[in-house]
Amino acid sequence: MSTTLPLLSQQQALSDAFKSVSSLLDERISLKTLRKKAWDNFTILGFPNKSNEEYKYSGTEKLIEKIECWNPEALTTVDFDFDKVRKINPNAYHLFLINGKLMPVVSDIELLEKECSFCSLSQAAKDYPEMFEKHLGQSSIHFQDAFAQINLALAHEGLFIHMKPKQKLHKTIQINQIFTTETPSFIQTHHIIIAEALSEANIIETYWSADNTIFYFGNHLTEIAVSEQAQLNYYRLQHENTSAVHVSTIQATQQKDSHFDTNTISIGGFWTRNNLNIILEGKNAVSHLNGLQIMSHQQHIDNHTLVDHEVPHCESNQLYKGIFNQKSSGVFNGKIFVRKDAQKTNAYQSSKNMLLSENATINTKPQLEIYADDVKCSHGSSTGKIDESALFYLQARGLSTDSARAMLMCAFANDVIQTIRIEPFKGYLESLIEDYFNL
Amino acid sequence: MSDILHEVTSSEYKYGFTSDIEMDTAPMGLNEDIIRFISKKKNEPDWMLEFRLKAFAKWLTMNEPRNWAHLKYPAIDFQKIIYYAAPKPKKQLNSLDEVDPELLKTFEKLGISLEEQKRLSGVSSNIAVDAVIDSVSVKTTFKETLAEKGIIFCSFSEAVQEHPDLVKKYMGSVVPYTDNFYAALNSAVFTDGSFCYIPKGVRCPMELSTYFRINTAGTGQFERTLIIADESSYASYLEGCTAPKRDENQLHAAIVEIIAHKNAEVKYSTVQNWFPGDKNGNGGIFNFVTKRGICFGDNSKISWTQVETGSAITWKYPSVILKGNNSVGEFYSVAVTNNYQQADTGTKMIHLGDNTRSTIVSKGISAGFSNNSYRGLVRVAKGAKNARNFSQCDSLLMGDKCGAHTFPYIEIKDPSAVVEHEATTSKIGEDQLFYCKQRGLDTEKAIGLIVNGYCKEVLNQLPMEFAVEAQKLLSVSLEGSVG
Repeated sequence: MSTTLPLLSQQQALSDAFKSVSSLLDERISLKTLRKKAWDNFTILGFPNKSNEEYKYSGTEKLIEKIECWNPEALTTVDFDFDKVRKINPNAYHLFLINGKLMPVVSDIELLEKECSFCSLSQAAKDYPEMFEKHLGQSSIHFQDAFAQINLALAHEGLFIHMKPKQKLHKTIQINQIFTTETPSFIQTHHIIIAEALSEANIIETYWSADNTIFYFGNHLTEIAVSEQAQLNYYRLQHENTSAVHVSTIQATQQKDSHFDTNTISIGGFWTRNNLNIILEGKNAVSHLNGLQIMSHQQHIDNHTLVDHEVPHCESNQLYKGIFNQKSSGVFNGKIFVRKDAQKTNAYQSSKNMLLSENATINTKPQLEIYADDVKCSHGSSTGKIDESALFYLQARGLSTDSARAMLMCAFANDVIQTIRIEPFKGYLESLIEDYFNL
Repeated sequence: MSDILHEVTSSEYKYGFTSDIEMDTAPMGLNEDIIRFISKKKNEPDWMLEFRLKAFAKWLTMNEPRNWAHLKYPAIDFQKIIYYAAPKPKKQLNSLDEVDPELLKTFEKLGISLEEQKRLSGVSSNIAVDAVIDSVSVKTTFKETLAEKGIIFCSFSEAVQEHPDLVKKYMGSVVPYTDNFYAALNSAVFTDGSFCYIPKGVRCPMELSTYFRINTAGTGQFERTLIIADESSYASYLEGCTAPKRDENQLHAAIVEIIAHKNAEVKYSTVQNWFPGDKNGNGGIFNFVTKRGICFGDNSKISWTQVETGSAITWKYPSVILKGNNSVGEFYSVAVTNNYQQADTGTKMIHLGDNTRSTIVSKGISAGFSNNSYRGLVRVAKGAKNARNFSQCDSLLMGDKCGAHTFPYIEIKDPSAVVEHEATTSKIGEDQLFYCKQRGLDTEKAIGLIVNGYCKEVLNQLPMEFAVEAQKLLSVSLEGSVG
């Protein structure tokens, strides 16, 4: 295993952080053991560099070096235009988090509490100990990734959302995460989302920086359990500043007849890594994973997806699209894993990318690992430029080169946007992309 | 259905025979002395020995690559291998009468009768065969015919003696000894192989062919092939491999280098049928091969076609470096794994020049308990204008105990590139089988028909002489293995 251990000075700071966190947390023994195990896993793995196959195109040493604070103090307020974010989707329960900590004053807590049980992660350890213990880290402890492990070991801010059986949320829950820090910090958040049998919910999560230039290293973990016949739509928009580092891991498990839709839209961030792991544990589960990345300047994004078909008769569908301009670079690594007994699996994956500049780079690796014979699995990946004939067609009808290009770009991105099922959010994204390309 | 499966998976390796040819072997193990021994045995010039020793020194610093490939196999003890085994007596042969009769029998069993070839000399559809048994080139047929055209087709050691300038200039220029662990090992200990040079403007009138065979127990075969196609020339090269049936694993680590100059075209076809191990996964060849060609000049073309049905372990990525403008790289592959075979094979297409094109068509078929992986790289370097790639990787699974995997790496650094990749995994459709059976074919024939159709795109690329053999091989390896 090729790894980089954190720098010596940081190593000390890191283990101090772990000690102080583990002494502070008021959790059951089993959870303390789990956190210790995650810590041990992390110390074995170390922060990944490029010789780690999973991080072949995205080394992290240089970014880790910049971190000065591993366990930043919790904040309660921030100077931020909350209304701007509320406007994205006015008809939703908005929850605002500052560095992962819930801000009750500006959030719609009371309204949401009438519909489902939710609280901060640390509160959940006290209020819902059984459920908390049942879900925290249960599947992500097995994900051999340094960032997931250190999050499990250290993260104690975030949300706990629990949908009771048969519960159908009337409105979308929109989680808005805002980050700010004075010293370059390592900010970790951890959500647990549980959708019990036959429940239905829409969740949007957005990521913002309070300041346009500050550097921080965000490491987020979301653990999702979708029970039998439940339906969960979980959409994310990453719109942080172009100095921020964003690492996120979604670890989702799906039971029989469940439906899970996720969409990852990335526009912001200096360096982004999204790990999306979906484990299909129950028959007839359906999963849709979509993603859109629009990158420019020196931005870098790395999307890793894993769909693990453990049982027969499941379906998964992926569509990832990327547009890369200037010196930006992108990675897509999608893995479809079909276990021996997972017959009648239907898995589809498509990755399409457009390079707009001489200096942009895209590396893709659509991967299939299949151990069952009666399956239909396919993947396609394409990289290209703007279709000259389409461009000519539009120009022949009187559009300027720039607006014709912008229109084609928006159309390219739109495939992904159209999969979103929440109307105001979809409209917001459409206009966001139109603005991005000055259409 | 399971009866047929049983029958096929238990079918014996039909090339499993040993020839009692007297062998001249080196002591077991590897050290500088062995390398000096090999070099001395072959009466090599000093620069060759130096090259070997440098490669050996490099090899000592390298680690066996064990992490990245989707393969599982026991550690190889490189000190338990005999690095040199030559058939005795080793003297210059002028006519077939002088060839050891045992050896001739071997070839007859292999189905490449040299006698037949010789008798038919003068007929244009002939194949010139260079047979390599346990690393030593035994006989090159049609050498004279080729010489008339200025084509050099001989064993590698002969080339070292007679064409040292060419060897010095091109050896290691495509696969340097620092390239990887097995390339370094081969560079240090290679014993023979084939050498081919096509001069300017010459279109090689016949298929050039090498036949490799591992005969002595406990030997590794380390052969090296070097093909140079000078400006505006053309050559089609065939390679076939078999090995006798033995219980222990035998190592095969070869290097093939191809250089295509301006407007030249080289077509390299392989039918690899080394002993795959028995049905319980014992024995078989470990095949670790580095094959690479460079389209050096403008408008050049290199095409790899491979039918891989043998070996317990296959680790092989025939690649093309597209350096010249408008150059073309092609890779057509059928890889079949049965029983406990494991294959991790694919290609690399490195686009450097402008307007370069590459096509990858890979068909994997897994049966029994085998694992079959496609691993490929398409890289478009910065400034490589208008590169075009199309890749298609299809996998066919037969039975629920095997695995089919795809690991394509696509790295694009130029916006004018158009790169497409598709992969599918499926099994033979019940409806297709039903259709064939309804028209009176039995299951076995129906499967043969469907599989052959599935591989047609690749088989069509093979020269006639090989296509027939390849089709037979496919049916031997697969007939009826759908449950």
